[in-house]
Amino acid sequence: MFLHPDSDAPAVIDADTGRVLSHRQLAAAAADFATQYEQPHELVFLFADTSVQTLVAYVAALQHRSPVALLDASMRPAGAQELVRRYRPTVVVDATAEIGPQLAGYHLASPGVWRHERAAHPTHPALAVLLTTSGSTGSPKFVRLSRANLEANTSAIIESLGIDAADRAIATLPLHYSFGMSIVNTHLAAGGSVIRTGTTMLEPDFWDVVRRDRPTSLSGVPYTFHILRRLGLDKLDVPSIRTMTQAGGRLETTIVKEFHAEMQRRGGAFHVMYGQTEAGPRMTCLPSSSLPEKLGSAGLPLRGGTIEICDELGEAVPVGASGDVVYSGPNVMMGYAEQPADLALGDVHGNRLHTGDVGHLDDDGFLFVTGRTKRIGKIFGVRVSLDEVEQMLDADGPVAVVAGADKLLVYCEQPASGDQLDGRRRRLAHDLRLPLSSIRFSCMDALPKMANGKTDYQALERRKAGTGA
Amino acid sequence: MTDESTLRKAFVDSLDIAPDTDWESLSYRGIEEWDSVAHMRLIAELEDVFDIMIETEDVIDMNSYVVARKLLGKYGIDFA
Repeated sequence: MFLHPDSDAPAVIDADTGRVLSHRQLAAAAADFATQYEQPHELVFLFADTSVQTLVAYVAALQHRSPVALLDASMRPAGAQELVRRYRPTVVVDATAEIGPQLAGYHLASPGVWRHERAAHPTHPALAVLLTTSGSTGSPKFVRLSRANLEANTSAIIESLGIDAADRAIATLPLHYSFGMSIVNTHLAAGGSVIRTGTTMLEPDFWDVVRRDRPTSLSGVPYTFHILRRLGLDKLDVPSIRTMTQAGGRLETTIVKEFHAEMQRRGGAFHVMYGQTEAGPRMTCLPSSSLPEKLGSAGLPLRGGTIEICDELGEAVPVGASGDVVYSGPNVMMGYAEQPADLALGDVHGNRLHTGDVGHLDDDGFLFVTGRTKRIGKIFGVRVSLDEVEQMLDADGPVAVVAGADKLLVYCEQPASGDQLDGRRRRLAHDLRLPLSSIRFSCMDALPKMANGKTDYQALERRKAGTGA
Repeated sequence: MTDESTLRKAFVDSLDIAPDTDWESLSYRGIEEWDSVAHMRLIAELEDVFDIMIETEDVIDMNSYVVARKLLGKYGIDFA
């Protein structure tokens, strides 16, 4: 999948070492790496970093039909060990070598690769990729994506954005994040290339890479564009970037307008997309040609997809009315996995996904996403299950967690000193791998409850609005 | 001449770090607290406290406390 073994055009550029792999070399490296996986359909855990080895291991798994779970190499070791213990993958790839050596029952098979000798759990033959649903809470819940899901989504995105062999993306998002994976899939499949770098947009080295290796596109979550705007694109002297793609949450329309105008000046485009890991991951695209008329919209469904707006009973509502956003398409996941036995399951979703988002369609079929029904926060583009965060914290007494703009607000019932709260805040930020500034703790005499004894989140939302968070 | 305590307070406030930090070794991504989000807050705080506009190249060059102290000289902020 996604390979062009006859092409000598660059496929992967490792900006940090200067190493370049052509499509032909990538195919050969993947075939070589796949010997580590032995039997097809045996589960692989890939703790992803920005190295070329990580990318080769990923492509090799797809090629060899080894279902691969993409995980954050910087997740806390205890969480990683627990996940490995639970799912017992046959092979663990960890280029950082931070997690592999700590795994009981695994031995080092080759650099960065650990193996388990016991019989693996059976997996469904269509299963290709597993992705976590909720940032780095260490949740054992995976999204199960089939080969067909990935192929459908990849070709629909390529068509929608017009990605071709001349396109080159710079990896600003990690591979274990569904949007990051999708950037790799689409550019490799189109015969284009991806630049890997461990540097960030706030380091001079990153921009040196951009000026030297000349990516044509840059993708990001809203926060990426906040940083870019502060830096000032014109001051960075990076004329090669002519396309930008934004997903992972709602970007302020004033900012969309600015970047759209700038990309148009360069003869390129600014794409707003809407997706979810469960949809492998992208569902809609706002065509550049519909700006500025449809500003604020998430766009139209990708080829093969449809969007319906439904009421609580699942009935479609009239055009313009608000309701639950339901997406159908060939890219909708097979289902979730919460335990090893689930890996053997086939499709349980029938290509239909209740997104948990609330929105409406306009007369032209453009989607406008206005809110969420599920208890999920989006912090700097990373989805965080608020209920899972509560479970992580409840050893210290009752808590309720709600989300604000790039913030988690934690309300504790147990009285605690400022120092205690600060300690808990730091621990949580560390465990979730979120910026410290995105987490706020406060104490309440009693958490608001509804008549049925459950936390009254509406009351907390009103309280949050009062504090301007 | 400006008192360095003003600069330190800006770092403490925006990076959420202890006032008894090892200032000479403090660097971007060197500690968990100084990530990209905190960096953007730090820049905003420095602009606010010293009433300056920090240029793009300095936003991305300011990768340690020592460098920040030096770069601010460009904006007429010199430390005793």
